[in-house]
Amino acid sequence: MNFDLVALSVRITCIAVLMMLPIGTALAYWMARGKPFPGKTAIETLLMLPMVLPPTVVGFGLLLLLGKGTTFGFWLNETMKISLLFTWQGAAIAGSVMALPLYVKSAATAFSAVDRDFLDTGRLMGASEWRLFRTVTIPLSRSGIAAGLSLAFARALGEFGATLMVAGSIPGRTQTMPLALYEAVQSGQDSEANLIAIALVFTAFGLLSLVSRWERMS
Amino acid sequence: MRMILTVIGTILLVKSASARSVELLVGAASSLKESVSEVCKSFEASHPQVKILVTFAASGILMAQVKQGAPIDVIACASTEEVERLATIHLVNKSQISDFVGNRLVLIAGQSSPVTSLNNLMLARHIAISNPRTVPSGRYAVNTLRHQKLLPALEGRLVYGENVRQALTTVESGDAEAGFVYATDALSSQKVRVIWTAQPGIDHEPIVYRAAVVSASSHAALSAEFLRYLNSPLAQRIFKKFGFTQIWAQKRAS
Repeated sequence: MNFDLVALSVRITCIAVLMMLPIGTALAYWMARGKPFPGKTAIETLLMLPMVLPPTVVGFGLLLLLGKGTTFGFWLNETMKISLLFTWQGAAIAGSVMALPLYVKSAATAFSAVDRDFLDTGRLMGASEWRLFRTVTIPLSRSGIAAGLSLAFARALGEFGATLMVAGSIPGRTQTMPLALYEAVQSGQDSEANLIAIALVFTAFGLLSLVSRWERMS
Repeated sequence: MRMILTVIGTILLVKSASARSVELLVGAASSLKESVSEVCKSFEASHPQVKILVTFAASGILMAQVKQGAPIDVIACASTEEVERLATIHLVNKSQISDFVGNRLVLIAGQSSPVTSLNNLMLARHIAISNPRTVPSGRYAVNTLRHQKLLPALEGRLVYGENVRQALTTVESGDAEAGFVYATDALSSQKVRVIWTAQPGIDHEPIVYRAAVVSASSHAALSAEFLRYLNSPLAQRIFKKFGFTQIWAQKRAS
């Protein structure tokens, strides 16, 4: 157990949430305000799949997507020269996929709870949709977004199964706290496992208190 | 906007500049954690320019990762099956395969357990083993009980762990009066004692750890050297210390 382990976990978690945030927000807005069409519910359910499937299965899917074995993966690796397997960036992608549904679900609920009258008033006054989104929808949905963010941070920080599949468990490179904890328990190093568990709890406190501070501030 | 840039930046930022020395990535089975870590340190000591990174996972996961082009140079699995399968699809070269250690299946009991040998295993209300459907050690345990003609009587008392470490923990805590684990696991615990050892090749199929150089490795020569090192006297001494058995080191002809 050392400080690097915590730093790496925090970095991977933060990047995972940052990557997920714009995509998740757009998806949530679309789910809340987008016009219904046949198959919308099906797509929404598809987005929730990472929560339904065991993380290892999601990880296996990502492994296929990012590895050279599939057409897309081959193009990504050979043509674009982007190799994400066994990198911390790969771990961040795994974390963000696992965190996405949790964030999208709470953000979408918050977005759809915003009173349409406010939006219509804004439109009458000539505000653009983007401006309405920034100055009306987001501020009014703050607690929902914060709740979603907390869940996303918690999920990304605790991510284990998908990360192990995509990024392996290389100490100092891709090994996050949950992976190190698992290895310590597996090899019977109980005192080290306890230490990592305590560090994990404190890191969770730190990250989640940042989110609630943002909620109070804005 | 800044967030979007961060995302793009993250995606582009792959493959950070390589470190000062040659790096070799070894993918090893979870049960090799302590031993292979030490073997790698010893290899590094005699190769000052080399840094060895190790990732531990279940052998099946390692196989899937190699199949998808993960940058693993050397794979070391807890059975022969995974490497065999990788060889059939030419992801490992048949001439670069090596069996390096063996293991034993043992019957263990907690300090206060009434079970003292295979003969009074009947006294156990619960017998902990790994899930035989997914974990080799569980399969070995079931085969052993079957060979000893104890399976019909004891089948209802078997409790499955997700892996061999869970079976060990269940016996340590006394929740199961006995259990089947690897000799290496039994050695790592002070809370259990070994009361019987199964005969590999008679009670169950031999337990052989097999390693191979991944064909796509960009350090083929060094990987081959590491593969040979697994069977070196120095490495074998380390494996022995952790309870692994030596096997007749054979490099199979191509």
